[in-house]
Amino acid sequence: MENKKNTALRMSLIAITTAIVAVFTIAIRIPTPLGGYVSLCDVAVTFVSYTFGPITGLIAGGLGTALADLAGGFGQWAPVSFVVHGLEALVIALIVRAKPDSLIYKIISAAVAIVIVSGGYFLLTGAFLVGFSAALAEIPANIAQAAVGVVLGLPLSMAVGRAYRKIDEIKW
Amino acid sequence: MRMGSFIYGKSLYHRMDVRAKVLFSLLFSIALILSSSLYAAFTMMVLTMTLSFYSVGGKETMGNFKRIGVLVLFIILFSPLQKREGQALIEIGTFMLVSVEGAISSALILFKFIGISLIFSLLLETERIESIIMALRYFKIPYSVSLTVSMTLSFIPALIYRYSEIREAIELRMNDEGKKDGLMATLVSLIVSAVKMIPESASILEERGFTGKSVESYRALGMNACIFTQILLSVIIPIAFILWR
Repeated sequence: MENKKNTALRMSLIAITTAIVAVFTIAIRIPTPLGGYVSLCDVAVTFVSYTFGPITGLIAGGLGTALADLAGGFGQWAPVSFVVHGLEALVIALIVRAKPDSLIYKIISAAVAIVIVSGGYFLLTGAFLVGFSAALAEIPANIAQAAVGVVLGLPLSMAVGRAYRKIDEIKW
Repeated sequence: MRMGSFIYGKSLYHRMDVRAKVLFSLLFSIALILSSSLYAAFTMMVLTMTLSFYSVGGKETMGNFKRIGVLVLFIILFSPLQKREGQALIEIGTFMLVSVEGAISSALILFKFIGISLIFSLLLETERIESIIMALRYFKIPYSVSLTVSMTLSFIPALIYRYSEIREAIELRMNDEGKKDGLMATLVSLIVSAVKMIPESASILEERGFTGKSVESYRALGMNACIFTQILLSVIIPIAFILWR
């Protein structure tokens, strides 16, 4: 019975955190001075990793961004987003889990996340989609987006923790 | 909120079985990625463009091009500069800016990128996401995975609606100066409201007798000779392109 309850809870956790990542990617965008938009997908990925741990982060980060790509008409990016953001979430959670209260570890995880996102998109889109020259031109935008994500993701995680104390009971 | 980009239609591609389309899209993308022949890649790109024009119309096809426009521009501008050995195509004095090999390699990347982008867009414009999930279930994707994806797809529009409600409520309570700071408050409220749904949703799953094991679907996909032929063609066509060297 307990096992059944855990499975149902885990599936709900994954479904809702994946939906949060997808909504942050599709619907919540900050306009940039150059007229473009920065998506907040990395904010959600960072939040889910800090708050719910590596497995939830891996699935929600990868699946949420991939579903957002599919829903937004960018299906060709879905496999790349799945791998890059899934890996980003997993690594962030594993680093932070080593010392949950250490600010240094959180800063290290943020720096690693930026490297994974910019490097991952460069390598995968370069190899399979647009070629390395065009992928190189995308690096600054990816760094900016990942940086906004980790900078906002950490305070968001802390603020949510303060606003809803029971969140610590839900982790995977 | 419209999940996916489905466009209603009665074209041949619309009427094609969803399993055949999913297989065709995946294998066709693999064929494009593996292609080293400029002619094969060009033919595949033209085939997807023709399919797209015929199935969803010129306006939607141009819309798909518009979405990838910036990256197409990057490919055209930067890729030819990557390979500069061989015969010169554009020279400035004695400096070779673009070689013939560089231009051919860029054209290959461009054809592959446009082909992959259009074939995925076409799949999503001619099939609903729910149907694609049913097709994945037919290909033995685990029940718990397809159920989680279905739940996620039902939560996304609900969360977007909740986000717009929270944002409006917070903006009403703030003056123009404070609206800039309202983003964090909106995000925190949205997440807390979403996280509170987790135990509720788990309880609903339990009440409905969820065991984690697969159940029979009321809407299972059938099979007949026509669908089998479509699936066979969806495999044969991409393989033919893979073998085209």
